[in-house]
Amino acid sequence: MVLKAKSVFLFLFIYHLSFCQTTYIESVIANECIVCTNEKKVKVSQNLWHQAHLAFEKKKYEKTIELLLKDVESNVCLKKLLKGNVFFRLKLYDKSLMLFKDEVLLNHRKYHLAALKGISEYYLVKNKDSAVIYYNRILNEKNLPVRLRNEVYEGIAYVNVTEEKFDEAHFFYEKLLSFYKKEQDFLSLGRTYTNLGNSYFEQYKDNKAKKYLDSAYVVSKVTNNQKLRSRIAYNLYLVSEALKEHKEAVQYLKEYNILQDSIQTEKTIWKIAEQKEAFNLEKKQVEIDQKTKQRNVFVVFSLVILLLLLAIFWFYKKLQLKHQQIGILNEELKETNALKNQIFSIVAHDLRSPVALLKQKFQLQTVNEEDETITIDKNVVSIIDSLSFLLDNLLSWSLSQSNLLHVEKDWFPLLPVVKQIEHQYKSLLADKEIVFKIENLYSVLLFGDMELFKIVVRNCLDNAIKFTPKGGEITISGVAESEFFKLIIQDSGTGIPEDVLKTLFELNAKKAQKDTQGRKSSGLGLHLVKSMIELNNGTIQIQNNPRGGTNVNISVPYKNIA
Amino acid sequence: MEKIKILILEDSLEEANILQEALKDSYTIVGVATSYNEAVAFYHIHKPDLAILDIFIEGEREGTRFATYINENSPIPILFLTSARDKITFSAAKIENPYSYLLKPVDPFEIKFTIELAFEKFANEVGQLSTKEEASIKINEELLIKKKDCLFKIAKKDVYYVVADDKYCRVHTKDMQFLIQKTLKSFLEDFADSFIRTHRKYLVNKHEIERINIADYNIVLKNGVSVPLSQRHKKDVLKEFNILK
Repeated sequence: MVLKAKSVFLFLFIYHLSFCQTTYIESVIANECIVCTNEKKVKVSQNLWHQAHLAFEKKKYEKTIELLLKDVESNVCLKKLLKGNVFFRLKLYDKSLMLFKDEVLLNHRKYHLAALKGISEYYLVKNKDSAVIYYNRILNEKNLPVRLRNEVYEGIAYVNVTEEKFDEAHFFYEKLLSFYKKEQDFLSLGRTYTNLGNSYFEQYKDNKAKKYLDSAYVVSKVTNNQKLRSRIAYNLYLVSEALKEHKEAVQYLKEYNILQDSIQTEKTIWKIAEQKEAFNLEKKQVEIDQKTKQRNVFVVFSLVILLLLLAIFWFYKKLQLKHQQIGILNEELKETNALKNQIFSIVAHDLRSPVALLKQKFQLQTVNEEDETITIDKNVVSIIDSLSFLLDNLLSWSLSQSNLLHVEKDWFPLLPVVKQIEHQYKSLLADKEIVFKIENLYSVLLFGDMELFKIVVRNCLDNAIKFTPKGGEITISGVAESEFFKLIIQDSGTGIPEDVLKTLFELNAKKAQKDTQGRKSSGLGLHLVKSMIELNNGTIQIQNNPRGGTNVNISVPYKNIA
Repeated sequence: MEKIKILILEDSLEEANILQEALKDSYTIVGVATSYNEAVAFYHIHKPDLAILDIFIEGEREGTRFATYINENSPIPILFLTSARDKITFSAAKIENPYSYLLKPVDPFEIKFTIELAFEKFANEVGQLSTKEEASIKINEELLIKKKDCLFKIAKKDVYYVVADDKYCRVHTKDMQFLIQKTLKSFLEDFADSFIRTHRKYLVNKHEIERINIADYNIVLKNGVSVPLSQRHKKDVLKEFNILK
């Protein structure tokens, strides 16, 4: 606000742009705001230019600068214009001049008038003659806006008054008066009357001054602008005093005081309102902060969840890969397993069958002895026998190891099984001159898989014969117990050393015992016997007979028949 | 008194020969069929007592098919021949129950026992023959008798009379007698329609009675043998023969 008073008496001299009237520059700046002109629907909070020019209008200059710095969307010239005005109001005149005199701004089609106005205002402060030059430059422009013209007139008039060129000043004031009257702009009218009054007062033409001030007083009452009214009242008081109309002077002084008071009150109310607003703003800020905090927490939380999901997904992928690998390995395993089974079946059929066939041939040959085309060495028969026996054992063992063994449990007679095995070993028994006895096995049925049981008895008898010396005795007898039938294979052989007895059923070549002919046994037989007897729900026990030899006790579920 | 009649279904000549070699002394082989149709024909002509069937004939499961045929007509014990003790083969053969099986190549001694077992299973009397030295079981209308490791059968009509002897029975045919491990009572239960009790210890075939001497309390059979008639059973016997009174 620029208030100038030359005289000691004069309280004020009113220049333009006071009393909350929008100046030309302000209007230019506001016109560039898309929010205020409703060009586009934009959120108020997002448009920095809008906020900046509002701040400027509210005289919050620092905030305006801050907002201008943030604003990158608006025109550079426009920003310079506003910035210059801010600096001007902050009385940083040189800085403002630098901005107004910017080449680009001065040549700008839209803003150059505003820039010129800014420069002229600068000179109004610094060098009034230069100001007049710029004012004239503005007046020479074409299509001059009315508001700007009026402002320039007022400026020129003001300069003339200060330079005591009253006539020129009055010329412009009169021009303005006629215009304002036409426009019915009472505020400006009041201001111009006051200025005229002041001018006459300056010339000591107190009566004329009083006349204009009275007009101003009348007009100002219409505007209800307290500031203007208070100033007019004060000026009237001074003029009345000068005219020695003390009564009136007192009255005007009183009115002035009243108006001053009300202005003061208004100011206080405004201040309180401002404070309230500030408080609300702070509150809002806190709320916003809180919301931001919540939002931040939410963002962090969702990020964590996202990471977690990613991690899970990653692990899942990894697991899937592993499953795939396992699947492939499984396939391979299945293939190798199938191959193994095939090998077993090859052993079973392609190897075992020819040997058994060979054995059968020789057996039939011995029956038809009268043919005598081939003399059969008994050794050959026994070698084939043991070969076939070993093959059978091997096959059964590998089948049992791979769970391929066919187990079919049923009731089966004991006696023929033993007799059959006896028959198989007849020649071997005769060779060793062993007395073989079967006792107490009549009318007994055992429960289990007969073929597996045959393997058990055959292996036990094989062992017994191996370890029984020439002329010895082997007895197979039975004892019926409550649930199990105990088959006892008793020999008169060498017996088994105690330490070997403990680990008898393990597959271990080291502890293999030599038989009566000095041959080592593999130990496969007993190992097989144990697993077979367990498959048959039975138990096996091997102990040394105190009277010499070994007792093998096999217990299997049984029943008696009539 | 007859040998057991056996029908063989086997497409391998060599195997068939071995089987015949092993069986010919103790059994009558009524035929070696090499196909299903042939087997069916032999079955009807010779009425065998037992069938030995190879499961696979020319790669097809003709053995089991024939077994089904037998069971649907007049069932006899069946013995399956197989080259492997594997699960698939047996689960296929298992449909004919009860079954016995014989692993190829056959052991001549083992086969005798397996035949016994097949009969036992057929009569649902496992162990009745094989766990004893002398025994008998009833197969259809015949008596299967085991004597010193030999099996033979007697038709019901060939039995003249049966005498109880402690826990056993002595069975008398036209020209033979043998002991079986069976009580007189269970024997009578098996053959109630053609035998009659004449004495506490005697069972007589009704159709073999020649003459009843009521005064002497004896019965003369068609082969000239006289068996005692007790006071207690006289009424029952006379009731059967009231025409001769």
